Amino acid sequence: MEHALTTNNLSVSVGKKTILYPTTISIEMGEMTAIIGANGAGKSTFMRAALGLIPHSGFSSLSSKTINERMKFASWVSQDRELVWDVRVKTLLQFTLERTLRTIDTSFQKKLTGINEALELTNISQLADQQVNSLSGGEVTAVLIARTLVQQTPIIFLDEPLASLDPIQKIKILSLLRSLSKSGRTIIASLHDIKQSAKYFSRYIGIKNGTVVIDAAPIEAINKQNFNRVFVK
Amino acid sequence: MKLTSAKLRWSCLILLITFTYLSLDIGYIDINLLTALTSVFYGTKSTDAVILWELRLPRTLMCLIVGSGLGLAGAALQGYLRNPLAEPSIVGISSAAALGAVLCIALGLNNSGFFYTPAFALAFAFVACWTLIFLTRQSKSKHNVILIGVGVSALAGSLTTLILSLSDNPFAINEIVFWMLGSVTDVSYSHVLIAGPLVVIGTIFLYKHAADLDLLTLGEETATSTGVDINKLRTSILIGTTFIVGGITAVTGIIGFVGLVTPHIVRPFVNHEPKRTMIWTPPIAALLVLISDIIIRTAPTTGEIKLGVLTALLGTPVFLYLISKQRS
Amino acid sequence: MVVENEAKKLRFDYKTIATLIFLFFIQQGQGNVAFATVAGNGDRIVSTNLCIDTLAVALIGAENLLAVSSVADDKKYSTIADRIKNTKKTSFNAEQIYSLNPSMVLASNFSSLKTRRALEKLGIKVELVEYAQSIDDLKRNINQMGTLLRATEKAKTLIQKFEEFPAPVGFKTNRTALQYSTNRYLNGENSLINDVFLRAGFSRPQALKKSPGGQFLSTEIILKAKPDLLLLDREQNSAPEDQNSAYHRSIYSPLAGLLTTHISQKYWSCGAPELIHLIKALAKTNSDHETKE
Repeated sequence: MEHALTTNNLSVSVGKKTILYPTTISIEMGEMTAIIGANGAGKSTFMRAALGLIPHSGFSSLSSKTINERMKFASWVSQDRELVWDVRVKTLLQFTLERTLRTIDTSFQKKLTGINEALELTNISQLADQQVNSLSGGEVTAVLIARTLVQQTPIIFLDEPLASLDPIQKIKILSLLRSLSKSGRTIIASLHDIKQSAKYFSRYIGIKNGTVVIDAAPIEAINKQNFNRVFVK
Repeated sequence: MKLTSAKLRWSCLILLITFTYLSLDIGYIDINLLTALTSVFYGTKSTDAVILWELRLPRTLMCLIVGSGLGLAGAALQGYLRNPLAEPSIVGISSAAALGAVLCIALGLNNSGFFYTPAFALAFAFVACWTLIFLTRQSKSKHNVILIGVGVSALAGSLTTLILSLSDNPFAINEIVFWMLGSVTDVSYSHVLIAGPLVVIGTIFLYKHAADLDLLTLGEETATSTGVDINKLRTSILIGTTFIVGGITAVTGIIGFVGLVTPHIVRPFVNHEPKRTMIWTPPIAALLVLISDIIIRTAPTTGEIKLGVLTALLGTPVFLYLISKQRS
Repeated sequence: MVVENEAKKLRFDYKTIATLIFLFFIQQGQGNVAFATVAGNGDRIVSTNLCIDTLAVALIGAENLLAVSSVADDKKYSTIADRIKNTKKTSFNAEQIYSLNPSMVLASNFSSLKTRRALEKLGIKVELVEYAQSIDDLKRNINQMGTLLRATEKAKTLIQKFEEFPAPVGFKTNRTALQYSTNRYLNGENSLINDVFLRAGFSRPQALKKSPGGQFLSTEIILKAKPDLLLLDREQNSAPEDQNSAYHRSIYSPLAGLLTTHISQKYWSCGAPELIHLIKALAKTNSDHETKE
């Protein structure tokens, strides 16, 4: 697969209001891309449409796949942390692993290895037997990322992964994402905080009022002029 | 301590067998179980045998069907709606089934034939189901299912009250009210053969997506990204619930709280996992219904307590206790 | 761990509850110690409805009945509570009735269909006696039960008594009467109590002709209808003239000008031979009134 994600005039409207204007973008495999913008600019909408989680017009290479096909290519780390059932961390991963094993041909030799490996990679092995509702925000984010590793996908979408994390937790997650990217995975994340993340990502796509206004390396993207373009009305 | 531990599994089985036996042995009058069983083999006629085979056995089977069906429907709905307070009645299907049966009784059709009341109840249950599926097919939010279900339930409830108030026959009113309180008294194999297959069909619809409910733990977006088709899931859950609740309500009237309370009792034992909750709720719920019915048969009251009343009486304190624990 | 303790606690409570329930029902006695009696001619008759019980006792006496309904024991509703003290009581369910080994079961057309079917499947004959909504219905029921219980002579005697007060032909009277229950229910034109009024020489107030059915009505409508006689419910152990606090005060107000009398419903809700006394009493108030005028 050449591109991780290709969109062609991808747009989202709710009733008469357009939330995302036709967007044509291409993201390569192995890239670490951030979607930046103000609140309500359309970042999450873009990612959801790209992944096919919401109805949209236009084309997206991932959304056009069937549900079962798509889950092999891309996984999703959601912003909303609603966890009604207070299961254990490794149980959460177990759910995804069982589903993955049913659809994917290659598999780990022993079930639990996949989960343990995922927990190690995200540095939360010590949380394996803890109840999810007892975890902090940063720990939950790490768990959700571990879950995507168990899903064995080359592409990982993250919706505001740094929201409501303190600076230290943010750095931990950013480092984790960088190490995952280094091992060959494609990371696409939506962000608010662009300064801290600049040195981790290789590409910033800035969205304002549903339109892409910037698409460049972070250094370029965060100079004053471009910053205003993305964030200031 | 998980329910997968062999000890607990065996206790569950032993309790179920014990209370099934007790349900056959205990009733309004004393019978000798041994005589009843042996007389069948020897071909001799005996009152005890008739009571056992014609009355107690169908009634016991009905209790098992009611318990396991309503328990499963409750567990499935709580898993799908991710709402610990969900119950088959929250989506309006039991109220719609009740409306159908009440209409049938008010029109006097229940005297025309055995199948009229169950048919009406099931038909109205499916109307409610279809309304739910149709109105929520484009919605993203699980709250819509609950909100529309509450609306359907309210509408069915007020129509039922309307029928009651327009009916000028105080005896039909009596019959309707008793029916709405739920009862398995004097059910026959015909009733079992109506409710049983419907519950089985519903069970198939629900278990098909048991694993999906596990994946739903992280919310609909994440579930969709892991390959869950939310629309198919919703449709299956609603249809499965309708078969089960419609089939049971059609025969026994409204029996509440079983589907609400039992999953909560089971969850601590299964690590709160939705799929395993769905697996272990039916036997525990069947146990609760058996116990309630045995209490009914042996309670020294002139009027008979209705099953729906007793499950509510037993279930409400447990439920309130669980709620207060959750809040703290 | 928290979850394990919780699970252990639940298990303990669960087992305790199961044990308690087990002990509870083991200590329960079944049934009552009254006799189940067989009729002199060998009939084993079980009656399962209060109104039918009352007729059966009138026709063949409590000593010839195998069992009567459990409500018959309650003085609040039953006029035969004293007479059936030593008769077995039964609820209407197949198990209990079947175990009595009856030769005939009498039930109302409103009794549980499930139980009736269950009994028929068990080979027990269930005779339906329809709820009487008029004196003619009552006579028909007495006739039917007279045949079933092999007491045709007694049945004829009872029916004869009602001949004294035949159904009125046309409207001769100008006095009106109504019956009004504490739960606001007014019996309709086709009800037993209304037929009692008609035969006693009363008619139904004009204002209520438009809605002949039984229904729940507010006190306003009753006041407006201004019946010459208003029959109200009587609380147990109170005198017939006592006001019943369950009714709105306005009913008793002198301004409303209503003549009220209180009778317990048990004397007229069932079609029973005793109804003749009520008709006589009501007719007498009518004739008293006429002689006064």
